[in-house]
Amino acid sequence: MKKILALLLALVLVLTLAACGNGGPDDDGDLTFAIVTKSAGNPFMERMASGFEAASERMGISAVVQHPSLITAEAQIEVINALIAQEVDGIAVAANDAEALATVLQSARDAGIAVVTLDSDTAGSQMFVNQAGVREVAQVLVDSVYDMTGGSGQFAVLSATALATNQNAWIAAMGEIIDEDTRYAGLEWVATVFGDDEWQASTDETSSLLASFPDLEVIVAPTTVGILAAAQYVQLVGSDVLVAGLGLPSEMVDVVGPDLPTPYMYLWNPVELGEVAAYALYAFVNGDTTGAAGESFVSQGGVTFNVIPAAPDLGIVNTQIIVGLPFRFDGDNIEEWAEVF
Amino acid sequence: MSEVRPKRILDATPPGDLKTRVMRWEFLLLALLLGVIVLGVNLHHNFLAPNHLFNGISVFLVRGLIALSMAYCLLLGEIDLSVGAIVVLAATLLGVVFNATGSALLGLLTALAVGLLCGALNGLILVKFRELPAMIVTLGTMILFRGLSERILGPANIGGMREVTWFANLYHGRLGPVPYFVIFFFVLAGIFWFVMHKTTFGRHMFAIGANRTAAEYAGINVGKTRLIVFSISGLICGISAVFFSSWVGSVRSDVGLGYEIEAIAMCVLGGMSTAGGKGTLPGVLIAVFIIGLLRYALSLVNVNPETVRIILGALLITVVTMQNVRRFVRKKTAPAN
Repeated sequence: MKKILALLLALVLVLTLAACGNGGPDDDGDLTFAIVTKSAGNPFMERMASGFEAASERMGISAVVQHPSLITAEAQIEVINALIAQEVDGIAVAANDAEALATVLQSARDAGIAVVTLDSDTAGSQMFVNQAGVREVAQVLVDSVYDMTGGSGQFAVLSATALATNQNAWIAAMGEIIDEDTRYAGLEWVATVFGDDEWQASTDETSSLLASFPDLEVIVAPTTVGILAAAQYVQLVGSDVLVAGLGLPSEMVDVVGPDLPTPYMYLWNPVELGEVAAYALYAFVNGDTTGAAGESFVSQGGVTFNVIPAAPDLGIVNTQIIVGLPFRFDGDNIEEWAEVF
Repeated sequence: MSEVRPKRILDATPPGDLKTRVMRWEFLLLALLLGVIVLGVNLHHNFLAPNHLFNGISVFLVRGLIALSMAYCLLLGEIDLSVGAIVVLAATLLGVVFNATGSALLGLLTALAVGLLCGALNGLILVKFRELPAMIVTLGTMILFRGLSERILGPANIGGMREVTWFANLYHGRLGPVPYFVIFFFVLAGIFWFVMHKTTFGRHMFAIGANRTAAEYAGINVGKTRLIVFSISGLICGISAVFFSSWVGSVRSDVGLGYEIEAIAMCVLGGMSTAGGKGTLPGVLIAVFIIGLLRYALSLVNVNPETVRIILGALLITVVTMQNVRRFVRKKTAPAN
């Protein structure tokens, strides 16, 4: 009986070995890039990873997609440790913590691995691949208002919390853009209110905006919670006010389109974000950039990127490149993207 | 099985003739560990590269520490579900104190004190309300401790510990290729082994786990033993929190998630009976390395976390059921035992 047990044990082991013994992906001189997402099962992250994979493969580089087992920095460190041991050539990571990855990313760089961050920055990376610059986001928001009011009229901003870093930066930049260009002189900014990124509070704020400003034409919400609450409320009460801003396609699919509260809206394209991260890693490996502010490089996708300084007040601690303009969702593509994220 | 128990109480180490030794659980675990190492070497040529290997080992030993004290809880026939929550609360207050005073030493002492106090609280409740099962009490304190940490930190993190060199070196410092932390772990495991298998206190734990009432009648202070074991469990969580903070250099309220599951899995694989009174510390130690190294080996070939969970779950179930098959076999072949 003992022998049978021992045999059984050995058999299980041998079978496991046979099933898995195909070796690691490196050792052949080819490049391998890896992307570490924030978590598994997040559609935005999955699309980002698929863009990264596709761009890597187009460049003839093997791509590894790794989701941490939990949405924690600790789980990401485990994954990155393993990637360092595998001797990959580049790592792109969407950080779950602004500080926690610094040591492990430094070890990666000490081992000669190129490291970029995307989606969320952290210390220890060589460059942050920024989904959309502050100025670019503010510009599409102002242009949405300009377009939806027909060039002149009242609008209000429905933001997240009064302390939200990203939203405050966008709102400030919107003010600068409007002040700088006489084209926007007809726009009247009547109020900025805060729905605290809660559906109910955002709905209440929308309702009081409609009551306080009967001539209001557009509400612009640079937050996915706010835009949804406002569009749904406007639809519910049958108001003519239009809602612009940044929204998640899957949440907004019923209110985006012609003759709906939101004719179009914006957000970043996760696929493109992943692609640019892969191009950025290649630029480091190929010596096209050192990541210093002021440099510029042409990506393998044929786009020129300018490296700009960090913006610590926005949580961006590394130099950065801006992926591009925010992505526009309207009646023609919203159904398709609603499936994505 | 009832014939085996009293024997174990009198003599914690099983009999030493070759036949029983070969059949011992630890021997099979060692074979399994060897299998995992062979698998790892086969999967990736860097598996045994000391630098990377010790990186991998340090990572799972932060959780492995807790398996040591969890083994004591299980030995008593108890369980401590609050370990992960104690780690996060201790780490949180370490961060708060470090932030307020700038002293990493004060932070470290705070973490140890918080761990000890949380563990003692579990123990006191269990001693004062003897009918309450540990599973329920520690489930409550688990929610309480993590809630406190979430309340204190919110969505933010506390960092900066990395800047204090000696503190960062607790985890990252190395003697040659071997991290101090790994050495510390083995010293601690040695102490845990000695206390469990070579002291009166250890024999008391075995006795209480085997039959609490009988142990009480035999004059063993059950309440005191339980209080001490749960306090040790808390203190070890405080130590784990210190190493976590030294490692990661930043604390959030999601620290220590799932530690209780992992520690219990390591203990059960190591042969600790959840009914109490049975198991050995070397078994737990080997199991810590089986689970940790298997995870590390699979990560080297980028096996996704879902698949890793499936493999670990299947391994645990297979091995634990095998343990019972083995017992059954021994009973059939050696009825005299």
